[in-house]
Amino acid sequence: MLKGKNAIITGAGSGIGLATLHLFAENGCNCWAIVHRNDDGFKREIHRIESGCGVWVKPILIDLGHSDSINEGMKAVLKEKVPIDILVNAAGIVSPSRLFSMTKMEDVRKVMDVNFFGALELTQFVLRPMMRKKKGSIINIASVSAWGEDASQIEYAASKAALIVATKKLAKELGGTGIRVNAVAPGFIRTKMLKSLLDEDTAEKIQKELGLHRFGNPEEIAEVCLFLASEKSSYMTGETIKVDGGGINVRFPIPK
Amino acid sequence: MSNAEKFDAVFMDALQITKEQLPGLTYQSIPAWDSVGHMSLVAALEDAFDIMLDTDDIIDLSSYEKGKELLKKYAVEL
Repeated sequence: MLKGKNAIITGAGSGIGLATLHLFAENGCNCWAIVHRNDDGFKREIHRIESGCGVWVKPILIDLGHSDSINEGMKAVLKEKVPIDILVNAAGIVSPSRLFSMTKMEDVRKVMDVNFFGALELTQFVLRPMMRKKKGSIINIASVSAWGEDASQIEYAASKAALIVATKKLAKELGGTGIRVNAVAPGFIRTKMLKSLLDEDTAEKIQKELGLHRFGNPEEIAEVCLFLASEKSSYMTGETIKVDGGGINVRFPIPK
Repeated sequence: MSNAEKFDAVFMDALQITKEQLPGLTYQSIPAWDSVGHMSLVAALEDAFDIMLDTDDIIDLSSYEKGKELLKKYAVEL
């Protein structure tokens, strides 16, 4: 579906980002994998993907919480003069689940920096090459937490809500340029991040309440990203697709 | 083609204007140089001179003359 295309994927080291990297590569897409750590395990992963899919995957070290790092990393990417067709902003962090009144502002800012400002800054870099080609697809990984229906993780929810609004606004702004901007709002997805927030009992309880009675897998989010990156979604922009296994009314527990 | 000629050609091509319109030309003084036209102009300048403008300079690019001044920062002699 993406043969010959080139994509930048943030958060490509694990979870939804890594699943998207795999799926895009399987579909013939070359990828710059934006990671904050390029350890031996990830290097082996990249080698497997490249040899199995016949595409190139280049790891780019960027700390999305720091402008200087984004600047340096993205300038290196742009210097290659390789067309950029797709950007997937999948990187995201959470701070430990606790009540807002017990959360340090420093943690709030850190989450906003990576999840929102980092994604915007990266987007600004890819817009010019995309504008030149008058084509491009930008996909922001938001979260159902953006609807703010549970009590915890204010900073995470706010960062994702901001990303959804930015998606809509950018789609309007870029409508005439051929660049589409959409978002995916996953629900409870089996990632390290989710595991860090829920104990086993709570996880089990929540799964029973979900429409599909299970957590989603990162690959199921990657499939939606593939759709949004491809021409199959050519008439979609400014949209946020909820992929939450029917998680209506299911809430994160209030932190103890 | 000299850099100065190239610079003029980028402006004329990106904004669909004539050489006579260039002196004194400012951002938003003609319909073609709106915000969308501005970004196309930036992209065309970057392509023509193989540079990457900083965001601050993109905002500062407020006129034809200012453009010439800004390019000096990127070691482009006009």
